[in-house]
Amino acid sequence: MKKIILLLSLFVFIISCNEDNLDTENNDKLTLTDWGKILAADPSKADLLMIANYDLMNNFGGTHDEFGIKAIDLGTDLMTQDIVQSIHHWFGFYYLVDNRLETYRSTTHMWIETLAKMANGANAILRPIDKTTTNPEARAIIGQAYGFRAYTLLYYIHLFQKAYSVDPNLPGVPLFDDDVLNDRPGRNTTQAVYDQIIKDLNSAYSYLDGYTRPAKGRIDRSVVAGLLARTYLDMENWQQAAAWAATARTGYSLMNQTQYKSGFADITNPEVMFGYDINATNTNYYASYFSQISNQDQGYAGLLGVYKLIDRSLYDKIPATDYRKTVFNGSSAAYGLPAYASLKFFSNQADFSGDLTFMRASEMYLIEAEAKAHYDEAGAKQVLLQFVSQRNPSYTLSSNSGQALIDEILTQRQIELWGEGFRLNDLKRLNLGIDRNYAGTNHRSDARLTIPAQDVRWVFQIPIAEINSSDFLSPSDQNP
Amino acid sequence: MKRNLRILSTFVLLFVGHVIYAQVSGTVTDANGKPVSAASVKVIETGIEEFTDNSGKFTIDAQNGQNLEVNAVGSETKKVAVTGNVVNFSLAKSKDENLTEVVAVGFRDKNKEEITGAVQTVDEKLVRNSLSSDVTKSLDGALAGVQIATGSGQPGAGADRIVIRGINSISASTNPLIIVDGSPYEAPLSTINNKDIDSYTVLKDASATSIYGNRAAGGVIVITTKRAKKGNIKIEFDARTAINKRFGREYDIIKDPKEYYSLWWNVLRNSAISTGSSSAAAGTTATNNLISSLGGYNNYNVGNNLLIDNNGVFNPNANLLYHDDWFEELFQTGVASDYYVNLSGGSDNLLTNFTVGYRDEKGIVINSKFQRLNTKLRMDFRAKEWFNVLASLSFTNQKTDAARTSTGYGNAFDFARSIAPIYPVYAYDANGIRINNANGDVVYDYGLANDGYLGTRTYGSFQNPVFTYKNNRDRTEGNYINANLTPTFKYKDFQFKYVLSAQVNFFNNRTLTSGEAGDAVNANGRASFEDEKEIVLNNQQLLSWKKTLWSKHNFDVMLGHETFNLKRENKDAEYENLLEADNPFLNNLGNFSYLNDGEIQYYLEGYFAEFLYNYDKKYYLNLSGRRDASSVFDPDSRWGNFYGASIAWRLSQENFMKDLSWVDELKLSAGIGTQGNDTVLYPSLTGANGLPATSTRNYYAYQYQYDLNRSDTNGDGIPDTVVPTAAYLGGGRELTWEESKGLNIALDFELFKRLTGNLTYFEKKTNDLIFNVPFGANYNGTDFSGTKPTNLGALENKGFEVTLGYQILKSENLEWSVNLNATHYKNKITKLFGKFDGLYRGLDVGSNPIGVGHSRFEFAMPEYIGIDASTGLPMYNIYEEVLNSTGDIIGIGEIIGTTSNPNEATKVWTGKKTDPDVYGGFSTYFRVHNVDISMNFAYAIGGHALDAVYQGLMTFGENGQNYHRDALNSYSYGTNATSSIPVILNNNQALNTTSTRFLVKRDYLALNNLTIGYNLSSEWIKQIGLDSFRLYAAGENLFLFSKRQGYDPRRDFTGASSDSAYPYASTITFGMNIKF
Repeated sequence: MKKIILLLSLFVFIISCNEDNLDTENNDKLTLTDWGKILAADPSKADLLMIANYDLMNNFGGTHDEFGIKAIDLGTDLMTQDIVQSIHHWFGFYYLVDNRLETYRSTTHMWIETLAKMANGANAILRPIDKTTTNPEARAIIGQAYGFRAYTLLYYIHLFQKAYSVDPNLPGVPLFDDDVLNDRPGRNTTQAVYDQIIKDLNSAYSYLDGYTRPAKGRIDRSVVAGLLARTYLDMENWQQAAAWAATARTGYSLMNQTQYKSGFADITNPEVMFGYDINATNTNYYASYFSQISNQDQGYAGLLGVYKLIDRSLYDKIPATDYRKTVFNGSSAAYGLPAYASLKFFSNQADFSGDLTFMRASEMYLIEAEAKAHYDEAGAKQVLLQFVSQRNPSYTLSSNSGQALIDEILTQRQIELWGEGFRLNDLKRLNLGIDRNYAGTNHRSDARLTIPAQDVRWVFQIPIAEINSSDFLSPSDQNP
Repeated sequence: MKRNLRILSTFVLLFVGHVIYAQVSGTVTDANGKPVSAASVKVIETGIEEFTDNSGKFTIDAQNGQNLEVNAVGSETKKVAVTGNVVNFSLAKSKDENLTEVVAVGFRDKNKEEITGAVQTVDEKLVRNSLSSDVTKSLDGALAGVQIATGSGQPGAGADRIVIRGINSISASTNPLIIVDGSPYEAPLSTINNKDIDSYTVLKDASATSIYGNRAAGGVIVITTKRAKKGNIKIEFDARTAINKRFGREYDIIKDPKEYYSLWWNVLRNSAISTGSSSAAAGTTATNNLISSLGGYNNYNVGNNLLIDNNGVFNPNANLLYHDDWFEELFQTGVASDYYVNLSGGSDNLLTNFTVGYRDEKGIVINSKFQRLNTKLRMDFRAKEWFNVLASLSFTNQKTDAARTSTGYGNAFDFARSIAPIYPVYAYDANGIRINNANGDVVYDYGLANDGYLGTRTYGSFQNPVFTYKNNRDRTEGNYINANLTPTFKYKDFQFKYVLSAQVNFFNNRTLTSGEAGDAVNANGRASFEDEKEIVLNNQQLLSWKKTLWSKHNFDVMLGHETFNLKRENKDAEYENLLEADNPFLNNLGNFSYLNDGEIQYYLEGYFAEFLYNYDKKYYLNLSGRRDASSVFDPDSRWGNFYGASIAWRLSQENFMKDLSWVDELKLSAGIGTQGNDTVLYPSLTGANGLPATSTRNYYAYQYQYDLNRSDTNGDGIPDTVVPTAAYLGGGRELTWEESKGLNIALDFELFKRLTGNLTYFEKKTNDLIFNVPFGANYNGTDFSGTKPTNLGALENKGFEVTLGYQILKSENLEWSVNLNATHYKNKITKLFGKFDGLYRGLDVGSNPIGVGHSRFEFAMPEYIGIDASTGLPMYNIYEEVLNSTGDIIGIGEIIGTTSNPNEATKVWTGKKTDPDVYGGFSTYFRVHNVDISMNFAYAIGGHALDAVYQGLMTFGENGQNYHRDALNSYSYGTNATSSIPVILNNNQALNTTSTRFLVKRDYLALNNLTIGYNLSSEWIKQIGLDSFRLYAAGENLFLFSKRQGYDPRRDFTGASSDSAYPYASTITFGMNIKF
């Protein structure tokens, strides 16, 4: 009996365990609880989330045509007439204007991998933070987050709907406010999306008062002003667009010829307003903008011959006295590259660590000129003169007026911003089509498409995963 | 010499006929009449000892009047006086519970007839004959209700997936819990030498597994390793050598450059016609662009535009200048050798078993290999009548050189299959002469015109896997230490057992990616390491009481407590810019890329009880319960209760059956129970076939978590700040384990002493399925953010299992038996969450949506109905769609049209699913005299799979890719307009769309193992001092019948094909086994 008691007591002794063991420590990831403690001790640590957000703009999505904002810029440019891709390769289906359906990777990369992550990242800051703070560091973070969210929404609406100028009542995209109660996770309207963008940008502008950014990789007031200019341009609110564009470019000087020919790979360039500094640690190597667009870097374009050429008709529009003509090959092969090959972008880095440019002052001149052409032609011509004379020393004040003036400005915009991701939205907001099948075209024989204005092929479908997963989106919400 | 003399004298004396010294022979059988091998037969008076052979026979020198003592494991010792030349022993079962013929089930060993749940042990011959480094890989088809995906053919790689009675989870792992010698085992099963395995048992139903609590939902595999037997030291030596060859054939891809150019010419021509060119213009376009569109590679001695004329006629004067076969250069015949030594024996007080095994295996791809050294010491200290200790210590070291199996151009299998046969492995000049470098070494073709090659490959330039497989490195070294200590105290009917197990697993991986060619050219080479240290501690306290009361009432009660503690520390880092080209250590590299360092902890605790009762070994009642907690869940929801209950009735023990002498055993049993699953995985709903990735377990499922990344904020190229990214949303307080409920009704029988069998009906229902529920606009299918694990939805599996064994022949010199098993089950999603419950396609993920009323593995996709004869495009059905008020499809009606645009086609439930209608295996064993042959087959009937490899080979993805030879007959405008195979165009992405066109039947029949053995005659080998000497030849994975050449449905649980998978190798082995 003694032994039984001994055995039983031994058993009881051993099983009386310590429940604390079940509260295991998470040394692998940061828990929300721990993050809350960090923020409580130092609210400026919220800036870390903002850093992560900027990194998302250069996020590698798994395949070599998925690297964030510049992949979207390149893909959408290839859907226009301005760029020719010499062989079918990465981005090939963008060039064939056949990459927009709900089941394709492209839509997932845009909506989910890039934009949703960025918007969520902004919300992760804006939701918990005390917005009444007077702490200048905290206010700067809030301002950047608002600006960042607006930036994301502008991309969303450009990609997933027709232009505001076509019909502001078309379905938009889900909207998430700072306060969960104001969330509108359905499609809303394009108008509602633009209202939200303006609201966010105004908040950003106000919060960023007095903020001096440490580098061009961050959003400051000039970037917010630039985004306001872009937004009002979409909305055809010409006065506001012109005014904000002028505000935005204040303090930036235009590039000179040497700088223009230096590859668009360095955000210290005086004209760059907002960009992302790429270096050895954050380059995506072959899956990068410079690997894909630079015919001189040893990547897809330069080494494998997936050349990016300028559309011949656009090339022919560049005056011979304009040095921008020299960043493209002419009608014959040169520099080991085919005719019309672009020489505009190059990093000269084996790891493609050319910086990414998201906004530069030239665009602001062009917005201001285009906007003013609608209500102040003289003013428009002056802005145009200021800008174009930097590119073409022979340029004199424009003698055009009316639509001809607007067209001249738009051609300047096409030339200046070639390959930088603006053309598709311009086609959409300006109600233009494309014709790659003109006499003497240099477009690839299997890509000589003619696409009318407002074609459905230019509106991406919402990825099927998003429709599936959201209680607020149904198949009937899908774009045609 | 002495022995020979003795034999001689025996003969002499026999002839004399005056028996004073005799050779006594006989057979030792067990309580069931089966022969007992390796039983010790000892002459008490002289101390001479012999052992029985495989058929239970022995011969020993003994005299009339002397006494023989027979000792065998699991039996009572028996003494018999010698009264003639033949003495047969029939041994009774031992009362010593350590030595009975038992099955390890639920913390304890149980006698076979006591088992009331679905428990099945793998035929020991199959385990013994397995040639794999992980025995599980050899068990496809071996057990009813168990599906095994063989996975990769990489030497050393384990089975990919073990599924018991169907998938019963969606967002959690369904792999079974592995118990080795009583404790949960975390190291890979390849760390256990097959020859050390004494039994491999699978617990399939809830009544048997509920005592393992919240880890048992996928079933439990219980492995026990060999223990020493009492007696003289026995030595076993096994040596074998094997060759590995690529199993089966590759898909029927184009290998002839001429065929390739002709097909590509057609693609160019058809594509041009499809965009409006005239037939003539299209022909000219195709002729002129033929070589340039392939990057300039022309294998023939005629001009680029002269190879195929604009009517598509191949130039009859063209002669081949060069041609290499990528398969020949990448694949090899691997040689393997495996040695095993076991020493075992002991006295009444101390039994010792010691094993050393060494294996060295080369794979079928250059530079892939596996080396393993394992040792195991197991000692049984029988200190006192009331106290004994079982202790074991094992150490395994294994090194794997992996062939890279990631997707993309770096993968040899994908590359060799997918590259057009026009691209050479080696560099050639324009005349087709191989270029050697200054040292006379071969030069590889990287497909870059700039670097002086013949052109710029449009497929995988930069890459040459023949070079990279020779020069890159991916070596994993694992060191696994496992210590077990089990003291047992006994007092009267009580027993207290303390099971302590400690596992220390070290894992190190180093990779080197060459800077000369391949993925890391730009970085001038790259190297990484990963170090993992895992410590697992398991404690069990088991108190039991066993007693027979009132003569026929047998009670066996156990109380237990268990804790399980796992801590895993992981570091990995990568640098770039190599100094020494082949040195993977990071001191050899200059440029920092990343360093990660983290740790996870996992803790479980459970209390459990088991009550076993039987009346006169006729009526059985088993009850078990467990209260379990897991650190994966919130403190408020981490404790849960699980139970199991089962009954059995052994009809054969009833008096009314006694007269039926042909009925040896007849048992009816039924059980119910619950099991839990806490293996919540990070979400991967869009992963392969929608199956959760098993590598990303979420040990903190209730916590809201952020990934931590580093960012360079000051632009100096060095990361300086840790930033939280990719939020993982935790399940919070509400999240708890998935609970599945099981029902099992079985009939076991043994008739005519020849026919054994089992018939089972089972049900398995999971009611709290964990879904990683996505949020709108937050949803991210691949990067884990924006989802929340939540208990929602339900599914069920219902089915039958049959296992039959028949001993056709059984005599001294002739034995023949056959075994067969078959399983049929149906998987069905019964409930979903939110809007998905009512939708036609439910949660519409990929080609395997999750929809109520459908199998988890039913395909929903556009219905391919043939081709449009005027356009050559594939045609699909459009069905009338029934919509609800929000426009979601809630059903479909009649076919209302057809379309060649797959995006207009209705994605319909096809009725075709991955689960086979019937699957299983059969085996046969045949022995005549000393020669034995065994064969094991696995099969599946019914079921479909998506053959993505074929899909890729039949559609256009990129210039310079290869095609299946079926593509040669594809539709072509004007020239092959009656084809039933759709046209291939290079400008229409819709042609690649997944549809029923790419489903393939996954029926298969495979010969998994064939072993032929020869046991040298016992008389002869005894002369040279051995107990047994066996020579054998074996083949594993010898043939496969499947629907399409190259397609192996066994690799993946869903039957899906994978372009990058290391193919399963065929192995032919020659070996010998000596015991003395």
